[in-house]
Parts: sequence; C-alpha cells; structure tokens
Amino acid sequence: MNILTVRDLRISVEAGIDLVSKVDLDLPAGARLGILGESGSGKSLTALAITRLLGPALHSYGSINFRGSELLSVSEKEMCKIRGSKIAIVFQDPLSALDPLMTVGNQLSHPLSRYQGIKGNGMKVAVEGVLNEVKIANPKRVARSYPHEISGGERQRVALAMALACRPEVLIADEITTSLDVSIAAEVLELLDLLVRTRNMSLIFISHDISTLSQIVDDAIVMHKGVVVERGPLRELIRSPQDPYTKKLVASAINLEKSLPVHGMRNF
Amino acid sequence: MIRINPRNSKMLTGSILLALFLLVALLSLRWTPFKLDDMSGGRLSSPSWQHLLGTDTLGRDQLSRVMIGARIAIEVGFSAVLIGILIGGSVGIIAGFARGKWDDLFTSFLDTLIAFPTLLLAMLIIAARGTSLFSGILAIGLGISSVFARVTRLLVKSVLSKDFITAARVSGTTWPRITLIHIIPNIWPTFLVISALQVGVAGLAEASLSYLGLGAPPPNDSWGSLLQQAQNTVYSAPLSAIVPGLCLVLFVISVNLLADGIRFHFDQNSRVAP
Repeated sequence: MNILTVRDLRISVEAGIDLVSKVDLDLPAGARLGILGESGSGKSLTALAITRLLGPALHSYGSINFRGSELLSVSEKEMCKIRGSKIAIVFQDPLSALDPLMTVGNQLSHPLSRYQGIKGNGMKVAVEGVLNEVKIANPKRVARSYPHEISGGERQRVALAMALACRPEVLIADEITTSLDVSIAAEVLELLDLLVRTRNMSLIFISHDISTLSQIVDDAIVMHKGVVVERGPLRELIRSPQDPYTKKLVASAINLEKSLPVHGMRNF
Repeated sequence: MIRINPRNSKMLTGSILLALFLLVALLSLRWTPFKLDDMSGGRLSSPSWQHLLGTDTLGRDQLSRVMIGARIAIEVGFSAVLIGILIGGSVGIIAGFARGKWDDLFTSFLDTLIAFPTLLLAMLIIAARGTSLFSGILAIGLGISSVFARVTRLLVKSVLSKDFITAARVSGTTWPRITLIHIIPNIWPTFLVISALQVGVAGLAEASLSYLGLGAPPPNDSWGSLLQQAQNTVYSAPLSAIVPGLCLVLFVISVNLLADGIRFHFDQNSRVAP
C-alpha cells in the first residue's frame, strides 16, 4: 500500500508559468524511490511541495496524498504535525541548513524534546545517542560545537540526525551527498542505507547523479524540465533507457565511469 | 561570560567612557558637590577648588549641574532605546513576516515614519503632553522606533530566507518557536549594534529638545539646557559651554565606539583572525 501518492502535481509561479507539471509519484511503505534529473528539473520543488514549503510566489496544484490525508488541503496546523514526525527532509548544504549561532547539541535537542519527549538531564545522553546513531566519532565534542567548527561530513550526519530525531515515516534526502567529497559521500550513503533499513522508513532520494542513485534506490523517476520523462526500476532505466534525455544521462554516466583510468593502472 | 578581545580597543574605550558616565550619573543620584538650588557660589565665578567648573549666572555649581546632565542623558538615552526596541522591534518582527500587500503596507507606513523628522514628532508629542522628562523619553522613543522597525523587518526577512529556517519548518517547528530560537538569536547582534548607536542619537535628540526648551524641566537641566544657557556667557565663562558640549560629544562617541566594538565582537571574520 502506498504511504505517499502524488497525482498530477503542478507547481507554477504567479504569472501562470508551470515549473513542474504532471508529476505522478507512488511511494509504497518501506520503499525507496529515486528522483533523477539535472539542476532546475524540478526535483527539489517537488520535495518542497510535498511538505508544503514552497516559497510565497509559488503555487502547487494536484493531489498529494499521505496516508489518506490530502496534504494540499489540510490546515497549516495539521501540516506542522505532519512535517518532521511523518515526512522529514535533509537538504543538500548542511552548513546553511544548520543555525550558525546554535551549537549542534542545542539544535538536536529541539526535535528530541518535541518528538521524543526528552527533557532535562536526559537530553545530553539523548543528543549523544542520536549522534552515535549517525556514526559521529566524537559525539561529545560535536554536540558542543557550532556548525562551522565541524567537518562537512559531520555536518551532513548532524543534519541527518536532526531529521531522524523526528522519527519520520518518510525521509526525503535532497542531494545530500552533492556537497561532500566522494569518500565521505560513500560513507554517508552507507549510513543512510543502514538507517532506512533498520528503521523501516520510506525514502525519496533526490540526485542528479545516476551512480549515486543506483547505490541506494530500487525504483526511480527521471525528471527533465519539470516533467517526468521516464519511470521504472532503476536497473531497467540504466539498461534500456527509452527517453532521449534518460539515454543521454545514462550514456554520460557510463562515459564518466570509463574515463577512470582503472584498467590502464591495472595493466602497469 | 563575555570575553572581550584585548585587540577590540573600540569596545574597551567605549565601555570605559560609558562606565564613567554611568558612574557619574549614579553618583549624582546620591551626591553632588552642591545642591541644585544652592546659589551661594556667586555669579559666573571662575573655576576654583570649591567650584571645579565655576558657577552659572545664578551662582549654582556648574559641576553639579553637569553631573545631573549625565544622569538625564543616560536616562533618556537608554529608556528611549528601550521604548524603540519594544515598539519598533515588535512592529519590525511582524512586518518581517508580512507578505504581499501587507508587506507593502508596512513598508509604506515605516517609510512615512522615517521621513517624518524625529525632532518634529517629539515636539508634537511634547506639545500634546506638556514638558516633562517622560514626555521627552516617550517622544524620542517613538521617533527612533521607526528605525528599529525598519532594521528589524529587513533582518527578519534575511533570516527567514535561510535554509535553516526551512529545515526547522521541515521538522515541524512552529513560527512562534522559530522566532524565539532562530530569528531573535540571529538578529540580536545587529540589533545590539543599532541599539548602542541609537542611545547616542537619543542623547543628542534630548539635548536638542532641551536646547529648544522642551526637555527636562529645571532644576534638572540636561546638557542641552546648559548649552542653551551658556550661549550668552560663552565669552565671559567659556567653560560653561565647553564642558556640557564636550560631555555630549564624549557620550555620543562612547556609545558609537561601543557599537563598533560590538560589531567587531560578533563579526566572525574578525574573530577568526589570530
């Protein structure tokens, strides 16, 4: 059964120009769905529309159904309850997604007290607990630090910990490995994979990188210029892409892989 | 505890100067060399050990009057800024959240307020309420609250556009809580700098009002009234004009230095430097 169903989603600016149109999306409980597409294809807008966090100049139409409730028509108060505890997002740039003037520990304490009811003395232990969960090496130091005092990888783990502290049913990861270097990105992906598996969450993983996506999701939709151009199991999409844009994406990814001088080095 | 960077000489100089004024103001509450109604000093006497700054035309000790002036400058400066923060800050936060037509309405209203001269507004209020220290404070406070509102609106809007606000909303945080834990802490360093600067502006405005005879009523004369009274005797007793004038200048300099020091303290770029 689908936990989240999006039908005919359209996002437009006031002048009536559609930025995203005719997006259909099905996310069964516990499933992992990838959204693939270049910058400006409407991936992030779709994610923001699902949580109803689009800017004031943007309007969304269509149907976004989460466990039977129509998200585009529920009250803001209801939506506040759904955000975080039901659907959480982790953003691309953790440095800007964390408050620069608040220590990591303090930032984590808010969702912990709100969603897990932790108060007072137990908070310090709980904060270290969630930091441990996202495999941060020195949770005590990180909890005391401000976002600019920790590394990029640690920051993204903290952002992930913040989303997880809300205990969401659906996690939307929006290009979370893009700002990280390759080895750290691989570690974060591995961690995400583990967390989604152990917590039985549903995942929407947004990326422009087909190889990153192939490490974590089973099914994907491909977006181009605001519309879904292709959908299906990711393996199929890579093996036999139908849409010209998907073909181009897959070909570029394969070319990139080929350009790695692995074989040449082996011959040495 | 706030640690002041020893290289932050502006903060240090500003704080010391302001602390001196504060000390004099506090002292004047309990003690002044002479009572303000004591006219035994003789008309316009020169500085002596008894009257360090001489006396005025009525024979009152000038030093005692300058001390009271410090108290009034600080009282008006800080109280007016407090009114400005409360009124202007609240309006600014609401205006920061306003969108579309409401935002336009707030902006036009604040533009009109800013365009209206503070001194003229103050004179209107004093004319309606009568001359008193509180009228002065209220008038100046209302006048500068437009500056606070305008700055707060901009600061709130800039913080609202940050990703961490969206991240907070994603985790279901409500607007009042976002205001409390994200917006206010992120705008208050700038707010503090503006507040410090406005203390100087309020002090100057009070001096101007007093100079025009609309400030604190006698015998609690402010530096502005002292300057006004010294106008006729400036050649025969120059100190009676120089000292209050200098005090006013130093007071404004002290809060300006403090404001600059606070800015330096919170500026991350200057803090990173060894």
